[in-house]
Amino acid sequence: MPLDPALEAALHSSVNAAGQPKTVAQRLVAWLKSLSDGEGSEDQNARFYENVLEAVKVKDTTDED
Amino acid sequence: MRISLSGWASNGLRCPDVEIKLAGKSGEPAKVALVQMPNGTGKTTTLELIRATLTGQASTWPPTRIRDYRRPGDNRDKGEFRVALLLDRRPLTIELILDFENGTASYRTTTPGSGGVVGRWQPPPSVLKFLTPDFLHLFIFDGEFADKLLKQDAGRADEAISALCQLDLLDIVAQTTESQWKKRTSQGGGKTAAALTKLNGLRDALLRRRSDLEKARDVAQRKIDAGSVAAADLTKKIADRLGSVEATRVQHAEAILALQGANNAVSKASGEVMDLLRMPLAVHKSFSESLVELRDNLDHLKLPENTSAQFFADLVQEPDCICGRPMSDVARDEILKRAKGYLDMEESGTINALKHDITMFVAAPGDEPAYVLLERVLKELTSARRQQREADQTLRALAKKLIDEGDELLKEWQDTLGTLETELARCKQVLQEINAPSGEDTDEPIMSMKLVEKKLDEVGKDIAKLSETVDLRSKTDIIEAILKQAARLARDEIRAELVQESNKRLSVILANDPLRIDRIDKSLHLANQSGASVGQKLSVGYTFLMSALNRGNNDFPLIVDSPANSIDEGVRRNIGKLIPELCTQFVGFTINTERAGFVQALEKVCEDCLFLTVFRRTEGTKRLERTLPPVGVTKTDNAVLVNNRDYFMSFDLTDEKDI
Repeated sequence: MPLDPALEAALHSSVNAAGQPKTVAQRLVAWLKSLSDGEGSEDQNARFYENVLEAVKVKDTTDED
Repeated sequence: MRISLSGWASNGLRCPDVEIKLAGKSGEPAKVALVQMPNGTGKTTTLELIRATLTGQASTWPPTRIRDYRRPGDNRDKGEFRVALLLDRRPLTIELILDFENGTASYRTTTPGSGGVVGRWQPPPSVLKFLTPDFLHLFIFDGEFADKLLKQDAGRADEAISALCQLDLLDIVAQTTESQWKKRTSQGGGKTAAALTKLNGLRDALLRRRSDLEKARDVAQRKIDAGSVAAADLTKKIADRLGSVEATRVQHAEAILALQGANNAVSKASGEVMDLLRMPLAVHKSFSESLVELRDNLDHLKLPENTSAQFFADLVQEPDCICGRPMSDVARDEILKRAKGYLDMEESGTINALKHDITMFVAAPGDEPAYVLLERVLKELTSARRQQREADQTLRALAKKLIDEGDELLKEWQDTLGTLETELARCKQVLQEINAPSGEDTDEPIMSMKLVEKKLDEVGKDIAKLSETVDLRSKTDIIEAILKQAARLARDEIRAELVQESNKRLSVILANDPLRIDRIDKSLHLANQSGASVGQKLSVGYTFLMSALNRGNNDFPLIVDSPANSIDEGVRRNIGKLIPELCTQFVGFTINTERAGFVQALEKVCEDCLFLTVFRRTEGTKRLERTLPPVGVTKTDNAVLVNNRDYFMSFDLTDEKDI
């Protein structure tokens, strides 16, 4: 089931503002769509979380030290 | 998901015993259904029971509340209320059973095709989030809720946006993210960047210590190498000096000879002592006594059967026995007969090997036992060391004699050698400490290179683990920040769009009223006015909720108590025109005074309208039963249900005599 267009747009915009790759937004949208379809078991949520986590990039601060 | 209300049925409760079916012309729930129930027929009770049945909340009701639903004068122990839904066209029926005697509520859920009938409130998981008391307020709508939409502290407008526009899904994702973080870091230990900085500091200190120790080891080794050569050179010069001076030549030669002999003896005895110390038998006599006792108590004369049986079989085939005598039939029979007494399990091979080894290592009677040998060799070592020291002392005494006699050069050599030997000993001590096994960790600066390596390894593992944790925290923070920002952006955008859409509808509904929504935060704020009439609130509530429902991706029935009450006829017409456009199913509980304007407007835009009238069967309503239409009438003991448009439109409970 599609998400509210405003919600989907806000996710893409927030991900972009956070300097994260588009994949993060795509994976979050996929997760929300799954929840919207009523498929929110603990295992499924854990898998979606894993996917999102994998896509998130952490800025390496050691180079700046 | 599309949720439709198929109908409900009541039996034995305060409201009339009646079954309402909302099927329209196509057999599916009619797009618009108006249920006319005069005041006192149980309209509010019906709506309460629909809510209680759908949410499962009645199981928490106190007995007094449950008994409150019993019809006065009715002796039945139980009352039942059943709500039938369609979830994406699949039926779901939930029944609420109120036990008036025990004051308890129970449920029964019927889901054909997935689960059948279960004796509890158990709707499918996909619909659970919609069957909460808060969510039901959104589609079982009343004037009270419309009022709350405009109240700042109630926050209903925001809740409606969250629920209908799926913003609450962001909360589920945020909760999962946080719970996963807690789950993964529940083992304890540092979790913060500060803890990681501390560990990195410790690692840097250890790396510096390792570097210092490597340098100290190199310096000590170089000093030992150079000092040993210099010491050997000086020792040779001193020896040559002592050997060349007439007064000390003979004694020096003898002392050198004695020292060489003592050195050889110390070397030989040391080697023997080391060999013997490696044997427990030599360390103490108890070892050999215990081993001999063990051997003597082990099984006697047994051979492993699986490897030795064939030996006897082959032996009897030989012309001579192993004892040298010719093999006769008598001997053959006797060997085969007795062989069994010498054969045993496989373990006997190991036992025999053990016995053999004990015999080999433990001294035979009359031989010198190992522990006696060790005692003797230790005495020899002690003696050789004594001789070594004596020879050394003699050499020193000879050197001192010459020095005392004024040999300055010898004195200088001797002093230099002394200093050199002290430094060499110090360097060797340093090397020994650096090369020592890891040992115990103390407050002192670490000297053991192995201990430094071990600690570096440990701190490295801790850093790796903590880095992963810190990385996970950073990622969790990023995800949570994205979700928070997305919720804010989406909410702002949706609020703005809903204000626009609602005002567009308000301009149609309230064509003669300048009432508009200014903004939405937690609640709805009206433009240019702080208060509103009941009718205005209802109109604003309708338009807002219709806009929100229309926006969401789920379809819900809009069930409204008194949809046109307190609204003037012109506004009713406008609302009536809009309702069919804004929801897939509209169920209105009305009274006759709401019909004017509203019903005609609904009929104009919707062909699939259902008009139901319900009234109680009492003495006062008997006259109404006389004017019932020929079809579409269902009577129960206490109520009449009429499915007829004309009857609906003309229904009036007021007796003509009362006018």
